[in-house]
Amino acid sequence: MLNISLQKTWKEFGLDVAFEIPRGKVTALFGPSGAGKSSILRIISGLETADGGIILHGREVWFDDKQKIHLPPQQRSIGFVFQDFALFPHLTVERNVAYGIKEKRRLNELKDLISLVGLSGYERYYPAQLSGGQKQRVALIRALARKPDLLLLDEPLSALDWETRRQLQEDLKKIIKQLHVTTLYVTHDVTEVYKLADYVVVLESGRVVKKGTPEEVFLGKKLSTRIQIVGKVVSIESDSIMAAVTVMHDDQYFKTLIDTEEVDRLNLKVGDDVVIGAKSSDVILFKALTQS
Amino acid sequence: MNFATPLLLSLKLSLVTMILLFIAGIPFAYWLVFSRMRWKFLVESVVALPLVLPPTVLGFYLLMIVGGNSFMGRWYASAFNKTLAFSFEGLVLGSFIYSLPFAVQPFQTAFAGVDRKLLEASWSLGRSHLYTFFSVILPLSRQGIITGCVLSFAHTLGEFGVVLMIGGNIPGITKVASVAIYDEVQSLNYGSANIYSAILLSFSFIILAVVYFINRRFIRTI
Repeated sequence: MLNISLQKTWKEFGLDVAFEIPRGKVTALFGPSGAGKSSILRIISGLETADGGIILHGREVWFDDKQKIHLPPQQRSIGFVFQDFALFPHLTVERNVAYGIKEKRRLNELKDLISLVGLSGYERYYPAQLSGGQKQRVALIRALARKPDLLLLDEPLSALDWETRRQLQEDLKKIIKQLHVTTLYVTHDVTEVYKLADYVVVLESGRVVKKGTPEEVFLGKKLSTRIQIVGKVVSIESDSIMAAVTVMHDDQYFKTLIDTEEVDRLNLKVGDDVVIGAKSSDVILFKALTQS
Repeated sequence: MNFATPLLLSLKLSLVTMILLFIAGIPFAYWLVFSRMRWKFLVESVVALPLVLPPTVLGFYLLMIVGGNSFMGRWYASAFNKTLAFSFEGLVLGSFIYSLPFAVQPFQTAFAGVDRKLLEASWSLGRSHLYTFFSVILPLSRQGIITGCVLSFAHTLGEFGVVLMIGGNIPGITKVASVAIYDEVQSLNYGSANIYSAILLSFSFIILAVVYFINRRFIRTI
């Protein structure tokens, strides 16, 4: 468990947050860009310093402005995955992954790690020869190779295309669960939060506005940039992947497409009352023609 | 005096200067790139001075500093039992300072060009600044380091003013090729002046061609 409380002021922006990162769980740090997510991650890693506050990792003090303690990143047991991968271009996949391993005898774990992300056979490739998704996989196992207590991911999928991102979400989930590593995941993508996180901290302009499980945080949330419609399910047409759910609200029908998995999880049936929530960032409005 | 002596002396001076600049220039350039000292720009200006100063000005002040009447000159004389001015060591000192920007600036550019994210990645993987320097910064700066070394070598080979001021014209000790050319012209020996000049010219051309070739190759591989 990590206890975090931080204050930092820049010229036009201030950060003042306090939250916990539960042990062995995936915590998402969610918010729009410019909310201060990445800065928090960098401060926790020790790459940046806060003006005030405290970072406790169990009984270990990583940062405390009152005691004047500021451990450098080298002394914090962290793995940092950068948005743009930050692989060493002059080192092969194998040597990139081995970079943080200090004990010689642990070098034979390399093969397992590389195969864990399906990159066996790529050991001697250079980063420039890999696709974006492969690069991010290398970056992930490089960060995990030194067995960090805390894995920090800074929007790790945002530089990838949609298809690769979906595939990597699954892989990330599998690997993080398998290694049981405490993770802090920065993202501005709600689906990633739902897919990966056990716990979410919502950030807006440098403040924590909400925290809890993804369901607690997102259901019933009334942000002005969202559409929410309450209605009754009148039909469900599903195949193995997607389901078309028709919802009636007043006299109008809304047809939506969701994962079949989700329908099963909610045990959704015709006649259920539901809330349709959607981001309304890209909508077209028409002025209705009134008959005179 | 052997005809080849000034040429060999020039090569020896260039080589020694280059090695010293490599050893001292790399940590110095690192400091210039990564230090947050407020007055760093003053140090940078001093390093760049040889680029704009007439070599005679630099040579004159060096002579004042290391000459027999100065504090440093007297200290050196008592420690090593010879003068620093008008000696090979004096030439090395002069060349070192004169060629400093030609080594340090390419090093500096190369170090500063390494993506900061890579350094942060290295630190976050538990590696010290020193380890990061040798494993990330140095290999990724290879091109700039080679350029700095070759340029400082070539620049030392071609220097004249500083060498003449601080070293004089002592055959076999301080009379390098560039000074020899001047000497031959003064004695109206245009033939030997021509040979020295032709050798220096072709040598400089070859060195520069090598630098450009290496840079081209690196650009292609990246």
